[in-house]
Amino acid sequence: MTDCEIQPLLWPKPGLCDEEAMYFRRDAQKIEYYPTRDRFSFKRGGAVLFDTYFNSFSLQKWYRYTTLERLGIRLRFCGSFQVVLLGWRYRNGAVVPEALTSHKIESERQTEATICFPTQNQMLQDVLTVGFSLQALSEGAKLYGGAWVGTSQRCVDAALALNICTHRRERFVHANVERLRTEIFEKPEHPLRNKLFVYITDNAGTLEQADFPEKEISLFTQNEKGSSGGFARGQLEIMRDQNKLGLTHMIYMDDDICFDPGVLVRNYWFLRFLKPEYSEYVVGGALMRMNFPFLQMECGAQWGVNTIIAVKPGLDMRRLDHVLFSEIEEKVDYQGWWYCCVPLNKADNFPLPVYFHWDDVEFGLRQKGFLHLNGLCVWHDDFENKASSKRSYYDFRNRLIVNSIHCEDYSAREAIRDARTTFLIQAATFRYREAALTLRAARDFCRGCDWVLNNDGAGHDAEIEEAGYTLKPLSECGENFDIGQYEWSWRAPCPQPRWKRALRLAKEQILPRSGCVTVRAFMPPAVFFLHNNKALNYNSADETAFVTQKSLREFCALLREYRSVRRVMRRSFGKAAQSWKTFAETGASKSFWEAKLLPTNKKNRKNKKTGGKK
Amino acid sequence: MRLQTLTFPKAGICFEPEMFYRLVTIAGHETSPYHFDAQAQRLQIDRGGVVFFDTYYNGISVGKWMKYTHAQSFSLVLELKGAFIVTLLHSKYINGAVVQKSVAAREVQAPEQETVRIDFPPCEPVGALSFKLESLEDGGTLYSGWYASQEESLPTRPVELAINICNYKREAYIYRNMGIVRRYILDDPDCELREHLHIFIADNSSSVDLDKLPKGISRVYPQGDFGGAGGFTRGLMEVLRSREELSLTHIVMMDDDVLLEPESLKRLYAFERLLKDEYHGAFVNGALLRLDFQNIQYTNGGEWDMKKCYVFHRIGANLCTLRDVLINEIEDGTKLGAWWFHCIPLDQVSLENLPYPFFFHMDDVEYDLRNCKRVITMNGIGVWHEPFEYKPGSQLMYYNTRNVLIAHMIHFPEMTKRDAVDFLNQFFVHIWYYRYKDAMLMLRGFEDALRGTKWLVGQNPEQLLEDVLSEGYKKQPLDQLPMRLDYEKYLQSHRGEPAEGKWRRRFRKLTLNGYLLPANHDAVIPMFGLLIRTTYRARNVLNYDPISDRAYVTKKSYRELFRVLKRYFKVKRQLKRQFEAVRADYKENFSSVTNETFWRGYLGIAGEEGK
Repeated sequence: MTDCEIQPLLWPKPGLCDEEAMYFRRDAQKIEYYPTRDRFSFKRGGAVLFDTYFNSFSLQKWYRYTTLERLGIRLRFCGSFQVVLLGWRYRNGAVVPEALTSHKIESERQTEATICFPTQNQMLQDVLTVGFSLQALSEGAKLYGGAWVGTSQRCVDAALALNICTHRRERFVHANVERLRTEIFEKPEHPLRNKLFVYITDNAGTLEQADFPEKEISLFTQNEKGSSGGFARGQLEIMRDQNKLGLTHMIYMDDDICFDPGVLVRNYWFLRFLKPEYSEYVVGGALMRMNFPFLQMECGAQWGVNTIIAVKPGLDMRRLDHVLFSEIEEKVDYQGWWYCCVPLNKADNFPLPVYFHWDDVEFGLRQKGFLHLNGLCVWHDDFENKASSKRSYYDFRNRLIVNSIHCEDYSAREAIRDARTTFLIQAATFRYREAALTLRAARDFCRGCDWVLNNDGAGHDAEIEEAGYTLKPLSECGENFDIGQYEWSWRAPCPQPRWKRALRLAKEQILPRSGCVTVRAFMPPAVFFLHNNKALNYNSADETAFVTQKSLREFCALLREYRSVRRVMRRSFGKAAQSWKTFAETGASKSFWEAKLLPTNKKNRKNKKTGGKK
Repeated sequence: MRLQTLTFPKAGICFEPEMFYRLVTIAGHETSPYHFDAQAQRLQIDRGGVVFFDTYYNGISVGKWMKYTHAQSFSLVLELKGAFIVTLLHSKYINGAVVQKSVAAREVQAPEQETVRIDFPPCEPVGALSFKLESLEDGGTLYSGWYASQEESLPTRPVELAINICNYKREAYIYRNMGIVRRYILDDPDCELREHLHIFIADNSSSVDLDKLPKGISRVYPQGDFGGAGGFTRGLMEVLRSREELSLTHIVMMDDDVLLEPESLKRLYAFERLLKDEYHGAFVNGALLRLDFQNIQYTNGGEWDMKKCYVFHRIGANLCTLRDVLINEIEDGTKLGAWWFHCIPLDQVSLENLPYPFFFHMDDVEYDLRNCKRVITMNGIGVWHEPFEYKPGSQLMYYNTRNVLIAHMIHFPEMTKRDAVDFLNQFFVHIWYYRYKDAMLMLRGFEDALRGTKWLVGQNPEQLLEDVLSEGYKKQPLDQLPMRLDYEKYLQSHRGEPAEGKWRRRFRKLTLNGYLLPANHDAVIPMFGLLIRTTYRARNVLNYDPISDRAYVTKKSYRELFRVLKRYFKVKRQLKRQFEAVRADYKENFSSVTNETFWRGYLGIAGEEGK
């Protein structure tokens, strides 16, 4: 088989990510590079190093999971260069580099050269990633681009379908589609041409079919069905087209992310080279922060019954040691649906109908395994910008659902403890409405699976939303905004023993206080509320806020409600958990979702599809 | 459509480069790659030079433009020569940090001076859009530029601005500002505002020379000294009377002693033209920047609180830093703006709805409490002004007390006698500084406020001012004072040194700031913004004003103390007795003193026309 360009070199892109150190490291005095030109101009002696998050090659993972046989780097250049192929190991926190081989390449005209790595042997064992350095031996030498190339005797077919569920995020969807359009759909020679299709489910009906005239893009509109309903709808449509288009994988993709289409290429080749024993594995994209594009938020996550633990959070992908550390594999239980590439070889691999949140966790717990690669990532809007009271309800209720399905030992006693801890933390931050929503979630869970399935929907969601706090423009809140206090609320508070926290909560709820503190709207630690009786909860993403006020009366009402919910949970938790377990055995099936989604959308679907094809 | 023009430092106005652009220091360059020609207002950037324009004046407040105006998508237009990489930036303050991202980049090759237009991609309506220039060759020059809307045509409303200035012996400042207006607006053929600007000056000192003002657009109305309220009201009346004749739509209340950046007026004009219908009644308030440290903001909007009085927003912001520039854009409930630079749509006011005859201070606050439904502030719209701490004076005690109490009685129905007494108790602060005359003036302010509307409007304001001045402290040259200025002591007081521990503070309070102990030293304190502990156990206190280099001396005196306390109790009794009746009086007679008939009689100008 001929060499395939399995990982083209990527360049910083204004509007997406312009952190040079995630792409290459250059000697700025001797190498000229501008974001508008995808090329380097070298002075003699100038060197550039490709050991970075996007442009190094995850050798160990490729050798472990794929049938890759020969690896090389193909460069388009003119002039004279010394190329050194390098490998990196990560040992006890230290970066251990190794120069594997060096070559001299030269050409007076723009040309292409491929330098191969030593074949898989003892020498490359435990090398995590490989990269290369390039030093100009002549003045005015230029590098125009390149790609990692590889060959394999076994290369299966693959075609990807992006499954995007959106709700009023037109700006992100349009920007992503535009990038796909300019970089893939409009380039006849692109490897993903006719291998990539986009399915957008619009839960709010705010997108126009006319904006997506390409045959590769399909838009479906349905009324509020939550994220699980949206993704399931996309999946149904994808499976319907599976045979016709030869689709092999589907990528669940959030609507509030942005990504470089180049990552789809490496995902595509990775899937084509994948060993058969890993064909049912899910390939996940790392989650990077949109506002700090070099910071990784997570690369897969672990499910811990009471909590979710992000894997490899906070890594600065401009740093080589963090890039290498990110390549070390850890146990992953699930992959968030910002970028989750799922094989389409199972018929009933659908999300559980839990409306909003935790559908990805539950889905992940059913999967065989997860694979991640450096450079396979998306940038996601910061979670901190998404302060919303209704999360309290869905997070807690769906957590109980997931725990009852996937954790045999999860008992009513533990659920009560979780409810208590959660609502007390919310009460400590004067968020009595959110605390009430948590207790309501516990009560609703106990009503059983049928109740949830029958009641979840736009109406119920609106009711939950109404029961929480509403963010208003800051200027309408009527409280003094203190930027210093707000910034302070972003600092990590000193940890305190549990008894101290409990004592503090009791004291703060009982003693009379005065003053209003400005805190972040997203999960502010209780310690910042001390000695105040009001809080201005500020969300800087859209300059909105809501005011909460300490109220002993509301706190007492919550305690009464908690006692009542506790009684209900003791009585009904086991039965409700059993109903979810039973449902989970057949619930996440194609037939269930077809019955739920398609009858009401048949007409709509027909219209939209026809419109799309026009 | 042009929204906002790039502006550069101007000698005589503001030469803080970082309020306009940020030059990146390039390692390895022996000479600076940047050459700014202040005269020609152009910036030359040699190869390798990088300049950011994400500044107070040259970033565009995208959130506010998108929220309040019809402009929803933006372009950058640059007039330049040379080879550049132009990178478009979006900056925002989010989650406690500044985030700046490049949203697009373009390489520009312009062998000759040419105009280049680059569109910003759609962006979130928060923060600021801006750009950076990276020069690819020596001699690259930026001549000018502006932000424009991408939309071909936008619905615009006609705007004719009338600047209303009240002058009292500040004609030199007025001539300076008018010179700026003439040079940068009236003489600039590209400036759209030049045909839509009018100047109205109420001259309380009859000292403004009309010939020194821009011809054809200026009107001067000499009158006696009726204070700021009388001056601004006269200007407002004349503007309203000329409204149809000149098609005026907005009035800009402006102090006589400010320094104006012409771009503030241009931006205001462009902003008002594009304002959405639902916001057309909004007032636009300019930020108040310090004249001594021009990059430091004194306030950007504010609000009035019955207990805290004027709450200034964003005090002390350093407008050379991107963080503070972005924080400045957060709309945090500004409810009013004072009249250093305050734009009011004329359809929100009328001749039957004029300011209250306060003479001095609180006229602007009261007027906004009455009329203002929304205040908009925006980076780049502001004036420089002497900070308030440079204007200490005993007369302020009288006018502030009297006028605040009246305004509260009129506009805060929830104000109780108890609140009024709390307000009265603020006079104690002067006792701790031994400023018995100031305390007396404050008490007199209370007494006069309790006399009601009839007394207030029946006074000769000039005579009253003289009385008040004669009862207060008079600053004197240092060599005429019995006490020496110990500058070291002054600086210590200014800095609040030495720090005071918890127990010492308790003990000091227990001794009534040393009144119960014998005095043991002399103190030197600043006139404005001082700490009570600086006069603890002091015998004589030198109150020093570093701006005028003058001072006055106050002495600890039990006799004076008891005299003040005696009057305090009397006023307190009076306040409790008369509060409700006086409040009813002010409310009842309110409309009779805020209409044109009253004001014409009060100012003695019935039938008089402007020069």
